[in-house]
Amino acid sequence: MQLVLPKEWKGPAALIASIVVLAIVFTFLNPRFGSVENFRNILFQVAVPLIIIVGTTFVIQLGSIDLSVQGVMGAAGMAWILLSANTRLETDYGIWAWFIAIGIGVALGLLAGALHSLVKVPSFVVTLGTWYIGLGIGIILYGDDMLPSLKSNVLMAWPTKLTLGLPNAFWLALVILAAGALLSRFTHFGRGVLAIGNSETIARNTGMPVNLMKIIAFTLAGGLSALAGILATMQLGAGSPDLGSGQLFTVIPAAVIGGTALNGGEGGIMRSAVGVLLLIILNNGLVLAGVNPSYQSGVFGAILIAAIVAVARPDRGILKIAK
Amino acid sequence: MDIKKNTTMQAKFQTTRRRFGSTIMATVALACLASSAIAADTFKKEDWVLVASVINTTNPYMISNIEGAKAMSAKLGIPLEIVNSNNSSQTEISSILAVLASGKKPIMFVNTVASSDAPTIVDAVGKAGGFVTIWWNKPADYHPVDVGNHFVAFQKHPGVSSGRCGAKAIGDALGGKGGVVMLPGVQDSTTSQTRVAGFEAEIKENYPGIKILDSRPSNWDPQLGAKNARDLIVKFGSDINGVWAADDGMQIGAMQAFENASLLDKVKFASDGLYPTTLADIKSGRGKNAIVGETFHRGYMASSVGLYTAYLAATGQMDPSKQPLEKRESLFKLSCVTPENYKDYLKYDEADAPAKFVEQLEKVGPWAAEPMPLSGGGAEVMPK
Amino acid sequence: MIMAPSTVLKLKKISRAFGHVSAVKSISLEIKRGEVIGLVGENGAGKSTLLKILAGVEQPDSGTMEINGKLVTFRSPNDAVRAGVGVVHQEQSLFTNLTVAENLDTRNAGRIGVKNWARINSECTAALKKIGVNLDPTARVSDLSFVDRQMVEIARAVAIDPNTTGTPLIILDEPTAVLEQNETDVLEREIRNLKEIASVIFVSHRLDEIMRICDRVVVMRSGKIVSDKKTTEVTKEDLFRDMAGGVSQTAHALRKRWPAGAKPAVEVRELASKGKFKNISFTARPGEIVALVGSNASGREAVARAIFGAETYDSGTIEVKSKPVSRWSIRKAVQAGLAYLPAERKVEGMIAGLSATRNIALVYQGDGSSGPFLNLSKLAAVAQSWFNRLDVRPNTISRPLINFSGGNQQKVVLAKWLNSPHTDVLLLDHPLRGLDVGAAQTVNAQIIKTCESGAAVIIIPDTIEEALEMADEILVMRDGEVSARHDMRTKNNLTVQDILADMV
Repeated sequence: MQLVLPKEWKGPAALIASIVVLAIVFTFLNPRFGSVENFRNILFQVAVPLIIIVGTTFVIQLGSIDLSVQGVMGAAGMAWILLSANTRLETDYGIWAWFIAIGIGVALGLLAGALHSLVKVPSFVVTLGTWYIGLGIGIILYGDDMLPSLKSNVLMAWPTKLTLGLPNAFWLALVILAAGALLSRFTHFGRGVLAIGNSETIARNTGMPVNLMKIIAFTLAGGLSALAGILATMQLGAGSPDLGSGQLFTVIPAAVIGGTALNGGEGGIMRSAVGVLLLIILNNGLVLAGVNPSYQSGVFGAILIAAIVAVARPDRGILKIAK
Repeated sequence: MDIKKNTTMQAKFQTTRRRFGSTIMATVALACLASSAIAADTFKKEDWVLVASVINTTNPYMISNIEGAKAMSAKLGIPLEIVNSNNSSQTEISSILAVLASGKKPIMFVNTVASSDAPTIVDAVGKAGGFVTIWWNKPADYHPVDVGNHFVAFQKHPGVSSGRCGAKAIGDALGGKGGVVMLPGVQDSTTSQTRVAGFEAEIKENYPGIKILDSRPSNWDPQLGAKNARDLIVKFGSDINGVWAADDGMQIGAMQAFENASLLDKVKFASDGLYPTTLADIKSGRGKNAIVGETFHRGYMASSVGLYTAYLAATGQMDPSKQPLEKRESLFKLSCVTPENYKDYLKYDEADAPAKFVEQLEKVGPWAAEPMPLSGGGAEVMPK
Repeated sequence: MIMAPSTVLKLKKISRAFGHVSAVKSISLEIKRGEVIGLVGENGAGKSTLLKILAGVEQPDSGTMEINGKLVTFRSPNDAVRAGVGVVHQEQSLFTNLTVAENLDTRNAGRIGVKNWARINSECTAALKKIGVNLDPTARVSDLSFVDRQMVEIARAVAIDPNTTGTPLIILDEPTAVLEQNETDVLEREIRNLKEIASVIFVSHRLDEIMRICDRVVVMRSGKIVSDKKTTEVTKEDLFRDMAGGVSQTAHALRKRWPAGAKPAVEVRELASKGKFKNISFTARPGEIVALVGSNASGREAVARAIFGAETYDSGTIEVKSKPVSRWSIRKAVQAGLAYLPAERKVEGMIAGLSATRNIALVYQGDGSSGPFLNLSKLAAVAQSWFNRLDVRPNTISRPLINFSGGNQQKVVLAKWLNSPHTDVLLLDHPLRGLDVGAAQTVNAQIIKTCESGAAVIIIPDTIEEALEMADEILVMRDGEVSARHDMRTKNNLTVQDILADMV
């Protein structure tokens, strides 16, 4: 049985090759780049975007977009820390904190999915709305009191702690990633999402539960953004409504670099994950290589474009339209 | 005589006058005297509104700004409008214009999102017959004395001293030897630039044995602070003896990164702002007293001083054009906090501290209140 | 085994109106088991509405429908599928990014749970076997040829439900429109095989095919069935007459010839593009029509696109009006007077959301501008004159182009190029694709008229008949090379079979 068709691996192969090239160059510039310590550091850093990108990929495969990531992360992160043992409140709901925080993300995702599929509001607008609702929840929870920090050293240390040599944060991401990949490949939902992205009209005409699938995709994305928010809060040891800042612009380019077309129907979770890896390694490598911070943004952008061109070039004809 | 008309005329006068002789200066001063005398007679609370514009409502400093404005509003008995700019100059300016359109004259404190927002806001306030004090950011060549009485003052804490405080604390804690890394804020912000300049200058002048290993702008963001710290740990490992961050938010992230790497008790930290979390860490001696230096200033102090200065101009109790330069472009004292003296500042974080501070302002005026009396004026001098 | 009823479809007085326009008027039709019915009619005759009613997309206002002896009411396409009606659409309805097996797996369409790949694949193999097609179930549809995709669609229509005892009704809505001659042959063979297990409604604009494949031909005009006869009892001319409402027309007309010695408008020498074509040489002179004939894989589209600068070539020369071109691009080609009518009209030929007026003015605004500004009333006048000349229907120039039928869109796209006085070389890639007889005649007449007024025409026709009717020279291509050349001015006894022999 074949898991993935060979053609689908052409892009990722080029992507992995460019990661290898980058790694070699960075190791040459600073041997510490190749150290076990940095390897763990990178895995620690990719964990949060990897969790987010599972949901993002499903949504983009539909041909929609989920902008709410950062807002949901802020809301869920704040809810989780305030319900866990923290320096501000005397509360500790233990495991329930997780359920409630992820529940907020699920609810926001459900709202976005329902509005998008049933009321036919473009996902761009709906999720922009849920982004701000999430941010609003985060700000209200934050209030005008002091910054809440985690009290439990066990929770604070958990993401960095090594299991079988790799940080726990990465293991969590890996489990989510594997579950996402299986969901994508071995369920009618996963393949249905691709079908809808290819042609929603045909999907409706063949009797697919298009609305349900869209709602599931957005709900999943919301729940995973919430989980990412909790992990990020744990990593930071403190809560902040702005916790997710910058994540949206990591995951969307990562998905595109991985070959997930923004108009839907293409790409896969593992490929997006490789995209995330490329972006994080690029950033980490530039710091380690000692690139002047003033030039870092520019160099980052230039290498990013070079990577995309290298990966995507062979597939483009003269009349192929890119938007 | 209509105050509004008069002040706008002055504004026009003053912006065009610069190179004219002292006779014209004198005439203008007379005109101002006349107008303020009339203003004092006619100041009616119900015609005015206090406005406090903040960059966002998620940063503890901004929240403190709002607290100060509330305390001032309660004290003066003038209603308060809060403008939340949501980190956007566009939102800031359009919200302020909306408030101005309400018909009441504003007494305003603005913590500007970007330096370049200041002239637009000041102009609009002038046209609405109000008075404004700008905090922290304005264009370098834009001065209240050139603009007019409605731009009452520009105020800030000197960034250079903040940087020097941090450098002294780390330098002393390390015994003048070791490697440090820096986490500046948003790279092109004046506040960050002045703090960085102060830090670098102090190290260069007085701690030749301290080596600055690297500097990674972290956009005032705790997450980014943590991320950059992790990369720097990999890059320099145990060569890092000290970490300086341009504000406490980034320091909180950086400390977590060092703690996760089991390095927290081997490294000294210094930063700016003395956030409650930071204060708690100093109290508890987290990471074998990892935090060695902080600066003390509070958002509520800035906003109440700013509003009170504008209020004095609005009521005519103070004529901006007759004030010396340091009261138009003011630098307020910044206190260096160490684990030894932090207790002196605890009282400023008690629940009634903003109210007490406002009371003090009413007694001694905006330029002499403890712990932030006026310390200098004019443009901040950057060290070489 | 239960014997299935002998009548598969029975329509009684089916009507459907949209607003005041009745698209289908009281249609009654019966189809027997194993029958292949040809359904013809001009665009707008009501065929599509009838098909939509059968497929459950539209609901009739009145009338009854029986399938395999059971009275049915379709509320959705799903109902139709369950009753055993399978539709192969003109526009393909496959998910090109999924595998063959997944596209055939309509039974699980409503589910979201775990996917049993082994079962889906084996069922697919079985369904393909049923119609005698050999395809890899795990192949991605985008990697298949058009005819293979058509097979997948047919397999899906046939595979509907292994549990129904009734005979499936398969509707083929212009399946040959995008196919090449040899592919059409394969399809025809398949349709004959289908008769063993299903009844078929076959819709096509190509009367030759209808005559070859179908048992009965039903002609529709203005929402009604105007004739329903055995294929053996009618001629092509009868059908033409029934469709058009009495007037029989033929497109064939002798053209005014230009002197043979005129300077070539386009001359191609030894043109080659790796993996696509090689050693292509020919000339096209003013007043001349050169037809490139061959299968889809013959590389003829690539040649036309290379001449227009839309694809690169590796070696050889292209001379336009005796000047060799270098760093050739679409921009330069258009400036040099070349025009290209793409096969993918909707994607490459038009801006669907813009009005017809704007589309006509895309290439040349000379007559429609005042100084540097567009003059809207002048533009409208230009567009109106083209609408009148090409009989574009409906005659509303401000309507977005997407709302016109395919034939009328093609007229507008053609007008876009002809509107420019600089256009003197026409590259026509399947100009009649998807056009009904009336529209095809108008487009052909305009092509010939343009040619007579001095344009050189390079055409990639849909059918060999088209090439035989129009061309001065036919280049037959096979595997990227010219396999034969026929000068039609000297040879006029050429047949379709002769050309087919050169193609394979």
